[in-house]
Amino acid sequence: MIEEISVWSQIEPLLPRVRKPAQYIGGEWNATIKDPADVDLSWLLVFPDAYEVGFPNQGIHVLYEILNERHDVMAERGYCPMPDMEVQMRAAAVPAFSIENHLPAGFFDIIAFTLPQENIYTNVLNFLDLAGIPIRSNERHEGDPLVIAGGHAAFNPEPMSAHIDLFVIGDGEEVVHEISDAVMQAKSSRASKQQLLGSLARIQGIYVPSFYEPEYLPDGRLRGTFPRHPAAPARVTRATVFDLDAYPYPKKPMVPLTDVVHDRLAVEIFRGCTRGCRFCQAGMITRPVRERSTETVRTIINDGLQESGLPEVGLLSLSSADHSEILELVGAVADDNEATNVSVSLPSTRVDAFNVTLADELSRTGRKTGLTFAPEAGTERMRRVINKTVTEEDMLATARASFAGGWHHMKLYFMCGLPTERDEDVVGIADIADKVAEQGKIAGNRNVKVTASCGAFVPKPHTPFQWCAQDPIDETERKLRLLRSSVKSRKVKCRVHGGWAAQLEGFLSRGDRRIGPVIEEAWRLGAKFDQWGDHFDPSLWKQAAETCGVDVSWYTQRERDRREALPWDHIFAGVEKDWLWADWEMARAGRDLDDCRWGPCTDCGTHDLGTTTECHEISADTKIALPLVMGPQR
Amino acid sequence: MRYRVRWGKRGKMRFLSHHDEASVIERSIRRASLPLAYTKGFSPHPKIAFGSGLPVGYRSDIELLDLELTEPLPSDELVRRFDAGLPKDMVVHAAAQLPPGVTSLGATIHAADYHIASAAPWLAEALAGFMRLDTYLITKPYKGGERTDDLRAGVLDASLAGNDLYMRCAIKPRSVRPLDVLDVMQELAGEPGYPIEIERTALLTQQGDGFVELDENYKELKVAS
Repeated sequence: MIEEISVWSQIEPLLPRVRKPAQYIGGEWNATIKDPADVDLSWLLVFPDAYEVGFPNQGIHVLYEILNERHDVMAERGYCPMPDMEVQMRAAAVPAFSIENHLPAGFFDIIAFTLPQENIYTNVLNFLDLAGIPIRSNERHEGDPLVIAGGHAAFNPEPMSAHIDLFVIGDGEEVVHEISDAVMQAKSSRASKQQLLGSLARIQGIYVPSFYEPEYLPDGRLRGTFPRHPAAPARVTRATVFDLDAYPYPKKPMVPLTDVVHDRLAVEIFRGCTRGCRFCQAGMITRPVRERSTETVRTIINDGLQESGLPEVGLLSLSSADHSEILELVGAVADDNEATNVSVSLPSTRVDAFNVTLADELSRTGRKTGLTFAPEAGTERMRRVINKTVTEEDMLATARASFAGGWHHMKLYFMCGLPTERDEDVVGIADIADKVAEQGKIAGNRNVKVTASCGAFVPKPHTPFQWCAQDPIDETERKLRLLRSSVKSRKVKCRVHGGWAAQLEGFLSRGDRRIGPVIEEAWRLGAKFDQWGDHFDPSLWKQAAETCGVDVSWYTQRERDRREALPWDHIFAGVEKDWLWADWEMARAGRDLDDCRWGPCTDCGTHDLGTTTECHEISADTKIALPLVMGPQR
Repeated sequence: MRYRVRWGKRGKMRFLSHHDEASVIERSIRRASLPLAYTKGFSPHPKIAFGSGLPVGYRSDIELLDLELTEPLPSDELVRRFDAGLPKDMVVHAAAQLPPGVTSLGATIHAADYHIASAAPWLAEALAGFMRLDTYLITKPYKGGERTDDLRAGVLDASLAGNDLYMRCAIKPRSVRPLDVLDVMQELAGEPGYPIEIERTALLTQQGDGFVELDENYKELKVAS
């Protein structure tokens, strides 16, 4: 059967003529190859970007294993062909394909896109079009695949609501089983797609956009989004997995055959974060903190390294040093791998005096390359506004300890354009970078390099900053110029990025259903790979917005008031709107808020997700800690 | 303990680059828990030395690599464990322990034989014309600049038998790829398309005025594929 439907024989002749053909061949170690004849249901899990970017995505790996463990289901993976390959494919009429059996995307029962961020939407449309599938839900036929999407960007599903049949809001581990069962049931009973969507809409975490309708006020603001189907709940509550130890994936980590952006065994050590950084969507939509036990993590790592042969382990989470047993965990992992040339990295984490110990522990198996801190803002006032309360003295002490301990390169991440920002806050970024560089001399390390990266802040749904105005492009550019000209130390290298890419991200993040046509038009004009600097063309988006009569700045640069209905109000991400508003008022008053793991419960709403345990029962030992990312330099 | 290993890649794995294939092999050795030796120092590297990189898209069953282990292992066990960790379509055929002092592969591989199946009929004339030339210079981008090579000098021998084209191409001092030669012939003949099925069939070393197969001295490596 595979030979009849596989398009490999059409793909093969194209490969000698394209760059990096290995990205299209599949065949990774531990990939699962099933015969569609042996299963009742097929999923295509798509990361709508290039293979090298999409392969490492953990969500896909976990769902791929969970689905393929079922005897009645198969899951394959798909990625976007690069433009040179797309030209060849369109010329030879080769459809978008999976990389396991090289089956056409249209063959699958379900096409599931992950949407890790917003600037990827045009790639979704392009993938569907390449697959020969109508890009709009209401133009697809009964025989077309069910098109679904999940991931963090799905928490505001409205911009893509005309193109995606249903969104999964939240954790996928359990929902994919419920979806599989419902679709198989519909297949065997020959139910229509409408009937199927009706049964799916009753599952927690599932949002069927065609069952809802927005209404607008005369001035163009939203009046609300209302259910129009008996199966559609007024508010869709996020799906949440409370016991991560019940899902100890990856068990059989896939190993790529060709270079990808993160080439390591990635192990999620906990999910969720309650630090309450006000700009951080991920922290707000993944509460409560759910840790994996040290034992489970160790098992996953030891089995995973043996299964994969990978040379590096990444301990992933939103803030890995906050794991209540992080020091024991890192020590155990370092012990287990003492003699094996395996290096361990802790990305997305933080380091302070406590964490320099942690960093030294990590470097036992590797070398001391670079440390990355994310202070995010340049002054203590600004850091209180964003609730990332780190004192300057703490940061400098950490820098001294690190430089004295033999670390040479420190990367610092900042944002500009934050609410209430003044020029002194921007200049403060340069000051702190200069001061960090000076600590090298004090610590007796003359070979010190500091990289200060600054990006433009983009307000995100479900955060306390969801109401605020984003800076106009020229204001962002002015601030970034001010920042560059304020850096004095020759040891500091300044990297800035802002401009149209951030504006587009803001537009897509807080857009409603009326921006769907703009996305479609931009794609028709040729927009794709919008998150790649060398492919992104703002003029296409400007033209598309103009054609559709949509004012981008109305979505990005307008401050909303408390009463305004927001396009994502009918999605419950785990934090109540009233709580977010109160937090927004505190931000504007320059007041910070403690992490509920060591402060009192602030009643954010997470309990309403149905957690059976306390959402803040984690030990207080981790209280000391600075925001930081650490790992080998690329 | 140094071992010489004969291996091959076919099918989908033909499209791995030389760089990709090196990391795939390193990982499969880790998975197999073979006692691979690492270089000392700041950034340890596995002691694996490849022969001559096989161009992307070519198949072969006669590739060679040398690796160093920290403890001895029977050749057949090395082959079995190494092969078990490789993706489908990458195969380890044979291994032999090397006596001390054997020259590295990089220094001994001077040329290679290739087989191109289903060669187009127009190739006969184009090939004869090409072989009559004294030189054929091509300029290619090289390390940020350009480099000019004599493509004709790199084609040591070529013969056409029916639809089968056999070519012997130099690897030292400059490596010439059969596909580049085919592209030139196609251009000379004004014909479209070229065959994609190219197989490397032998690695050769210079001996006197002629070439001999490199694994001639290692009978263990000469396992029929």
